Amino acid sequence: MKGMTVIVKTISSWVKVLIILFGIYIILFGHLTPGGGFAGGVILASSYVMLMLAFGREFVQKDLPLSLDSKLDCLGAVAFAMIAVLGYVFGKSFFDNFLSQFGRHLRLISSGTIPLSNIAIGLKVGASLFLVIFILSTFRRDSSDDKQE
Amino acid sequence: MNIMFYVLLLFILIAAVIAVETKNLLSSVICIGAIGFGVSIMFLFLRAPDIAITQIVVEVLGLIILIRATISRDLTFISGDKEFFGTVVSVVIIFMIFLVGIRVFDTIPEFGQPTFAQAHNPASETYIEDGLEKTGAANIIASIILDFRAYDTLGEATVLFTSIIGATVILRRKSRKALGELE
Amino acid sequence: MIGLLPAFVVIPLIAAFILPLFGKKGKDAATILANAVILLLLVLAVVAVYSGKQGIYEIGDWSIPLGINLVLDGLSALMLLAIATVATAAMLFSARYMEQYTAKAKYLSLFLLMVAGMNGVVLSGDIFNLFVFLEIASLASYALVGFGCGHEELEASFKYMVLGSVGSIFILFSVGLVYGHTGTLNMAYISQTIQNNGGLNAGLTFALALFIVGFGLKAALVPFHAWLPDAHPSAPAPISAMLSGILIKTLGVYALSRVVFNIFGVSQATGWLIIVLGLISMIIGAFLAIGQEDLKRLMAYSSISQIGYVVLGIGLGAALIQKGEDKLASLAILGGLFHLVNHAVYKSLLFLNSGSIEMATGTRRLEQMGGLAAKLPYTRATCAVASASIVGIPPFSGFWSKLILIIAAILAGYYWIAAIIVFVSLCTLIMYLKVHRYVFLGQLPEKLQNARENKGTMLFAMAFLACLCILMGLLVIIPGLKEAVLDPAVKVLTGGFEYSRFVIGPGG
Repeated sequence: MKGMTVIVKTISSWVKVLIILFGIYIILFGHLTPGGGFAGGVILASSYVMLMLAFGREFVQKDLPLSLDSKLDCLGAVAFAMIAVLGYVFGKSFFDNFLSQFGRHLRLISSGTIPLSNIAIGLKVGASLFLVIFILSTFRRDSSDDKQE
Repeated sequence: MNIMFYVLLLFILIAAVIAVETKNLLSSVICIGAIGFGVSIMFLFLRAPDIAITQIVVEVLGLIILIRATISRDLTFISGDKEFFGTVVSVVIIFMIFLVGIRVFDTIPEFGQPTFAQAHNPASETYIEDGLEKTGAANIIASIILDFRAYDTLGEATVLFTSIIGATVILRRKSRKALGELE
Repeated sequence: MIGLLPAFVVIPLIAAFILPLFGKKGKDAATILANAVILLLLVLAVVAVYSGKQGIYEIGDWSIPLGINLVLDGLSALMLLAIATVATAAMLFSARYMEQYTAKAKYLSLFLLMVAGMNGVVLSGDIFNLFVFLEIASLASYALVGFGCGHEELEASFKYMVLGSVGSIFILFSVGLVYGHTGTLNMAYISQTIQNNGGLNAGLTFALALFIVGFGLKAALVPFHAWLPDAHPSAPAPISAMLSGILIKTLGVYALSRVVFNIFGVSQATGWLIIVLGLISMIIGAFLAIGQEDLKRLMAYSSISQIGYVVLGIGLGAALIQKGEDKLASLAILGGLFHLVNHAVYKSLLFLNSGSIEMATGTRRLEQMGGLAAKLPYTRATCAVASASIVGIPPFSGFWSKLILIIAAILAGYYWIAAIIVFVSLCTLIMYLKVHRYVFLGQLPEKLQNARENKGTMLFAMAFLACLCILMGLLVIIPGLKEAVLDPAVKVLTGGFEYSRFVIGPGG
């Protein structure tokens, strides 16, 4: 897969930035406006899927290697579980929102562990969805190779 | 608003039936996309923008993958006959569930009425009234899924993690080692 | 102890999240880490049973029904112990057995996810949370069944996934119905609402029916068993041991009895429905098992038959509670739960035996084996113990649980049920005589001349379970042990609605 035409490549390289920014916005403001880690993570993943469709797999591989991607996946999951454990350590119980009175209501920095959890989930969902799409697309090439042999 | 709701419902049902019945794989995939977008508009009507956003982004991503998968395949037509016995059994079962469903739908509260009103000590009222005070999150959905019921969200994240690990395991190239490699 | 309850779920979860980071080089470290985690869970489970503490843990410091709670009572503690025991043996066995396959770190991760999912199901006090963890365990098992990536494995995994998803959807739909009717997801509050309304209405009855079908699919009771004979043989042997040994019981029998006894309340109709499902599973599973030519497939059908015993005991208990005969009901439930634990041990041992045989001979076809008694002495000995136990020869563990079931059936006046139990035991005898006749006795085929016994952790895992098979009879013979381990679990089920008062407390 060598990618699509110049027009598609140019436009997607511009749009990519906007999509990633939008994904980050959805994740960071998840505790104030509709959205959150899951939706934002899918948006982040879709920006890389668009790059993959426009530029080809090899280009995206250079930008975000598969091994790094699966590490990010694990890292996001561990981070979310760690937030829960921190509640156990610093707060009263497991998953305790021990920072909930930190910051002011309706501001970006508020509501304690909720934005942190959103970031962890966003990282996890984005990395894992991109990972599974990448694996599905490479798998198809292998199976078609088998048929030709 | 109510009329729109039923129109949407009908649209989703028709798309679902076509998706199952059509023999062309590509049109089936497009119908699945139509179902997904219909559902996300439905969520907007039900004033659930959080779920609508998630539904729409997942739908876009899923549709891209499915269309990519179907376009590059040569075999886009499904063939094969249906078994008569199987069809009869499934029709009978669906009809029975339909009959039971009519009785069941009589018992659940009317559409638009809060279902938790009959509860003894409803948690949902506390979420709405004290959610901001107790958790500090302006978005009540976020306060429920990441604070009150964060354990569920950990479970959901794990479901995703499990399916990704499962997919990488199932799709790996070489699954067994040659006999000599075992010491 | 109660303060440590989340550890049962979180420790395997975090370990499972970290494990995929160990690549090819860190394989040994990953194996050690996974084994250590499972051993830690076993220790925790033993402490949970031994201390006899019961209580609830409110996650996030939110009082129920605002938040989610974990509940440790007798039944949960018993299930935790059973899960940890089987998982320890299977994990030890995997350490060497899984060297045949690639991607061992991911295998270990999926294994721990499955264990975490089952622990979550057993501890959860929230019906939606129960569903979420049930999904984790199910998804991990779908992937593990297809771990070999061969044609047969993938087909079995796909079949299992489709039927398992149907079961999950039934359960999810039912959870939605229950929430619509009661306005709460907490199991104790649902139960309280049902008691206050004085019973079930049409919607809740439909929800109960959906729960029975959904959990019946997970437990592979007979009308819903189609996936099991494909899925369990196709998985790697330690996973077959986990699936047959404990997964179908946790996701099926435990969840079903929790929902029927503690949430919806028993009735004559549900009791007899469960009895009939159990009897059909016993008989049909046994008949189908006798005809099998594939070693693991035979054992898989035998699992269906054995799960029938467990469900029969529990259903008999439900019907007897409704008749007001509480003593007999607790006897029947004791038989069912004791059989559940016994079956977990000896069926996982049998599947580990089959893995050992398959690794030595490279085949699962019965007619291609023979005369392996001299080549695989330890496998043969442990297999003999497990077979004697499953058939019900005294003093092995299976005998006691079957005896209790028969006594309960006779005292309750259901002689025909006792007759069926004995008859199915005879069928079980036939199938395991067949296994021994074809595998261990007879002529050694030419190409199996250099079959070798597997040493090390595999042997240790089998010996561990074999010892348990012999010693488990003591659980009912020594009086103190029965009171400490089995009776609290039985009380949870016979107590019925006591569950909601226990969780909410006297003030609620």
